[in-house]
Amino acid sequence: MKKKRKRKNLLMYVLAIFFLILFLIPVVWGLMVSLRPREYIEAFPPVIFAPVSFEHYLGIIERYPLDFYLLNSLTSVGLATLLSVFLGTMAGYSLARFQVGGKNLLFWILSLRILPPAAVIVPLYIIFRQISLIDSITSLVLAYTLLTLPLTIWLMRSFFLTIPTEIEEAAKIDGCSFYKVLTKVSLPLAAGGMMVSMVFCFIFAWNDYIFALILATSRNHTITIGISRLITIDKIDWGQLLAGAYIAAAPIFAFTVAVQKYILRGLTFGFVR
Amino acid sequence: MTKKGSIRKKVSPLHLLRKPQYLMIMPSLIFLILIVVFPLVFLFRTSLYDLTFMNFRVGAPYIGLRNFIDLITVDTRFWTAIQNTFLFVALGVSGQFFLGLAMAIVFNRVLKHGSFISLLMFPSMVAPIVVGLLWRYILNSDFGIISQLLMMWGYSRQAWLADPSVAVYVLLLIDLWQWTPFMFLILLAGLQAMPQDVIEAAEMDGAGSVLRLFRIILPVIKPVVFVALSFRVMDAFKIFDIIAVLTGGGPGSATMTLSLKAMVDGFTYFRLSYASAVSVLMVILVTIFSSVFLRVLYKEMGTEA
Repeated sequence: MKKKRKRKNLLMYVLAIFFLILFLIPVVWGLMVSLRPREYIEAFPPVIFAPVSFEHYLGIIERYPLDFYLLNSLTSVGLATLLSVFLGTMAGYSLARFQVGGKNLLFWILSLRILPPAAVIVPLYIIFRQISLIDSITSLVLAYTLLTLPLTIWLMRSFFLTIPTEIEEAAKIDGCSFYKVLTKVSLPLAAGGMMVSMVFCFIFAWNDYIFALILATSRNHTITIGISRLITIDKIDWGQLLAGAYIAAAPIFAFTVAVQKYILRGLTFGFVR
Repeated sequence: MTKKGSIRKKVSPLHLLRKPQYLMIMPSLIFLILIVVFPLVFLFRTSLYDLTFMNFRVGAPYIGLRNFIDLITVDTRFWTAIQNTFLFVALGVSGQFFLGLAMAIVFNRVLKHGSFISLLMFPSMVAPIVVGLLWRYILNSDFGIISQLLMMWGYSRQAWLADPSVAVYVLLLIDLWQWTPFMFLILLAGLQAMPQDVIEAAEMDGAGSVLRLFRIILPVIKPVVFVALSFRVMDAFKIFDIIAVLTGGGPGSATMTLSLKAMVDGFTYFRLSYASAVSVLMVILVTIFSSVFLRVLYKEMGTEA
């Protein structure tokens, strides 16, 4: 019996390593290729180890205004996150504590997550164009808020549902007005939930491609659009393409690792009602 | 809970606003109505005309349901798009689920915590466009590693993405690679939250691992499974970035999906009304499917979710 258990554990270890390799090898390989000189990329037969060269990274930084793109991403996504969490927290609170609108309203709001961006983007484009909002950070902020608000409301509602009402009741009995209860008691307790919501909003909005593609066509490119332009019609510079991909990936991945605690919490706590 | 009738008798809408709970939800509702409901109504209206880039300023003629009729009867790409979209939703999500579950079980045994797990999140957490670019390189028929390995071993160069019968499945695999870590993370968290004594008791009672899996583990993590599945299904419908970057819907229209078709018709061919019709049908399809799916899932799961 013990031998069986040992063999099973060994199998598990092997599988674990297998999975790690399966998912990480493409990432590692791409990174390695982005750091090798051009001749080695185009060499055949392929080489595993090549001298390290930063030429692609330097080249792409020179060629494209990546700092401008990153700044646009940061601004639009940051503002949208703040707006989304602000609106979502308030809505989540009324839904959690007072069941405003009952089951129907709740269901309608949550079902908005089903909406594909591609469906709403055509009318948004037409409307924004009429009011000359196209190509502005504002249009992106509105679009990203739209993208994330149903999720934020859902998350904040779940979080408020887990906070017992006794504390709020006690504060009310002590004579606090509604808003005082809210700001002094409820919000601080939900601060963790707000962090989770902000993390998710940020990630989803940052990674967006479709809204930025249509609503920020020529001037205010975000980083996702910026790197997509590396797919040129004529011969693609693979080194630069990969370098660009990793430059775009690095911030959000680092962010993800840094806040993984919140991501985990959100996925389990906030989602499971 | 007071009945709707009694509220209507006493309170006028403006009076409702005095109550803070209504006041708090108002901004969100106003925003959603302005940015979602209004555009959707506009979308439907646009689909009944023939708006293209050319008559954008001048005004478009009303053509009624012609766009829809064309889509359903004449446009074969539309049906391909529906087919492909459902491939990603049904096949894609199930694949991600089973693989993610396998991984979660393995890692629950082996490495419960640690940074390895956050590294695994890379495919799911970075922008889909990054995933697309990376795989575009790897699958390139001249310089990608797969093609080069094949050529080294004497086979012809790999051009799977240019092969209409295979391209979709290649994209499905990439989709699998991208989203399985996400499923894995949720399922792992669910497994870790499971009380160990139940499993140990079952082990001691001599229950085999397969039995343990189905009778004990799965029922306990049902709510987590529900969340993971519904999340991914809702997102799978929207798939766009990967396909746009890797094949653009091609070869021909073999890898076209609904979102892609709406975008291509609208912004490459600038047939805005036609794209609106695609979008309307897409929204209807998604709504019907999602409500059916969620209801079935909800019943299966038997939880309050």
